[in-house]
Amino acid sequence: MAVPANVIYFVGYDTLRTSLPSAIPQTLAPLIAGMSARTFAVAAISPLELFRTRLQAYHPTENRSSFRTVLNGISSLVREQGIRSLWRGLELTLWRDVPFSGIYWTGYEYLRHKLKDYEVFRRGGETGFFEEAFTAGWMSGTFAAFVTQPFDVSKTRRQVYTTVTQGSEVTGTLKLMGMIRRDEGIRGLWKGFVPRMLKVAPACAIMYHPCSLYDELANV
Amino acid sequence: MASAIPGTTTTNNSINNINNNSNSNNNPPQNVGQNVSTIQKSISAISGAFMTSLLVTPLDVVRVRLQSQQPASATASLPMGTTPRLGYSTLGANGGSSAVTACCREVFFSRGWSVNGTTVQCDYIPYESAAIEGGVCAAEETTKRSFQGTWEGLRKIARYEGVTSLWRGLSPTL
Repeated sequence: MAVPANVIYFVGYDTLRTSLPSAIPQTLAPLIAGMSARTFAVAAISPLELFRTRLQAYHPTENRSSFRTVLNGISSLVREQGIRSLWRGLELTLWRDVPFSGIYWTGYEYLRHKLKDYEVFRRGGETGFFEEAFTAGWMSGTFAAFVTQPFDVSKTRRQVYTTVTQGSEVTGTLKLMGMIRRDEGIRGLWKGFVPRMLKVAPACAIMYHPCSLYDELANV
Repeated sequence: MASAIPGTTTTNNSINNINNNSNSNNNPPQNVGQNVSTIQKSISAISGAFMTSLLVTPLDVVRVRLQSQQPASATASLPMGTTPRLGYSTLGANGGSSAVTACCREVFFSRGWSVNGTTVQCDYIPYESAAIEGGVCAAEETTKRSFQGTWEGLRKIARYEGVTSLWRGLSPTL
């Protein structure tokens, strides 16, 4: 899932970034490219994401195959609510990931240029672009994760549970978030922020290095 | 791309020449560069994604659990004469008005219950829906296993469900 998603995402980002009409201002180009690429990637893997979220949320009380249990749960969901329920939570995933990408890439490119301009990581004659890329990615990613966390909580809730009030399911994003806030406090909307934040650093270190490295080489 | 080994220089040059010739005959050289960069990016993205997934999956499991477990802080008292039922948590932030439960999870995942032709739903209003009957909520079990923090979560999942549970969801991720 991560593999096809990232291929779609990175190739999409790269293609869009270079092929966007020049009328679009330089500051907006990464924003638009990042958001569009993320939308494609998210929609493509949404059913798998549903499966994975349920698998991870499931904790077995009996000794049975969690894989099969979750699969059965999803197939009965599809039987009862139609094939579209495989994309359950897609809207919230987009609410989480599209702003994330936009904030992330904008912040990343901004910070990387700032770090470069101020020569924060320059030693001798070397530019230290790994440090620049990592620091920019890490700071930008942490900020983007914080901003989008309420959508992450809502997405997990929606993919795992059916939230019902007064006999019908709560489908509205704001209503769902409002219920979480009311019942669990404002902190409820930032549940799971710490593990999500901790993911940012290794992701930046491993994931963005080759790409930034390549960008650096290609631009020379 | 100049070779450091003197003996190989000529070979490299001749290969470069051949490449240049074929490029000029068939397609513009920029196309070749573009293709290589796309492939290179894909490969680095794939290997990067693989390593990242391996490293961060336990964090993902803890994150999803933190978000989907019911608040462990409050234990609502049951209304008189009510037995806890599947789908209704005995735990909830304010008397369980939005209690999402382990039992709901059980219902939703495993059996896809259907009572009187209606889909079983996890209700925000406790003890009122007729949709779910029977079965006692494993609330105590859930409380014991619930957690507040990331590190606590990693430890409890490893202890109660086995270390491999921390990498649950890795295979669909890959």
